[in-house]
Amino acid sequence: MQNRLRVLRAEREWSQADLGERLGVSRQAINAIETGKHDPSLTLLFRIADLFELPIEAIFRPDERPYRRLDP
Amino acid sequence: MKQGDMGEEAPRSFRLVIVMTLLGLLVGAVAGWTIGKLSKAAGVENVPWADVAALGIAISLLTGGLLTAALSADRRGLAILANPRAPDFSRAVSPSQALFFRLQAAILALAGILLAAPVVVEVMSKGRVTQIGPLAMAGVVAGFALQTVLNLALWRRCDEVYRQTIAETGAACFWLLQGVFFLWASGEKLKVVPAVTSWDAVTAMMAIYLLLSLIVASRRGLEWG
Repeated sequence: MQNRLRVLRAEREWSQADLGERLGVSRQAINAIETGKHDPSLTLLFRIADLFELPIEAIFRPDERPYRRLDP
Repeated sequence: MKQGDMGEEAPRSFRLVIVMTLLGLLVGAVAGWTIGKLSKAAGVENVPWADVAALGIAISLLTGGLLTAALSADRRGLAILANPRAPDFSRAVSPSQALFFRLQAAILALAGILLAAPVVVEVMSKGRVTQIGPLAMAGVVAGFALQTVLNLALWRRCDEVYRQTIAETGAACFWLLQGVFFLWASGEKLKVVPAVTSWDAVTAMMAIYLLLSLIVASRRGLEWG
């Protein structure tokens, strides 16, 4: 899956470790998600969406569909 | 971005590569020396391949466990374990993550001891293994029980990426080994390959499991620590 996690994290000036602490996962888990090596579980997806106050579709997109920003 | 984020994406430093290479050489040297000493003590010229392999794996596991334990003993070491590629290691690690690393250290070290114990006891007993075998076996069973408890504790504490890595490694190991063992057992039954002992099979399984765990972890982007 494509994702905007790194961008959203950078906007808040959080390191991977910071984001991991907020989500209750390891820094390496965040790295694995950002680099597309791990697709997060549904539970983690909702936690990420809640943290950034965005719908899941605004953060994650399936690989076969091109990503586009959702209009506010 | 805060300082430290570039380090999360920075390529592995040359110094780290050198340290890991030297560590690997040291482990190999210790393993070779240990095997040589044991075979000399037992008066054995040709140590069975499974015993050599088991001791080599055991020393690697023990070294990994002791190294992880040493690093998890202080704040800087914990920071290195949490992110080996960070440009500096001043960031504090959470208590739960520190416990995770210490559990890993204990599991690795204990795995090394359990794998080495039967070989060392057999060699050092110089043929008297039937006398001390039951006592040594009791120790192995107790150690295995403790290992199981620690593994369960680690499973409960790790996140979904680690759990998926463990599960994938287990599945890959099962599918590969069930095929290999079936083929070898068939060949043994049909007398086209030599018989192997259960210790041979366990040693082969451990080697394959460790190799697969490295491959699966690497595909997930998990580094040591």
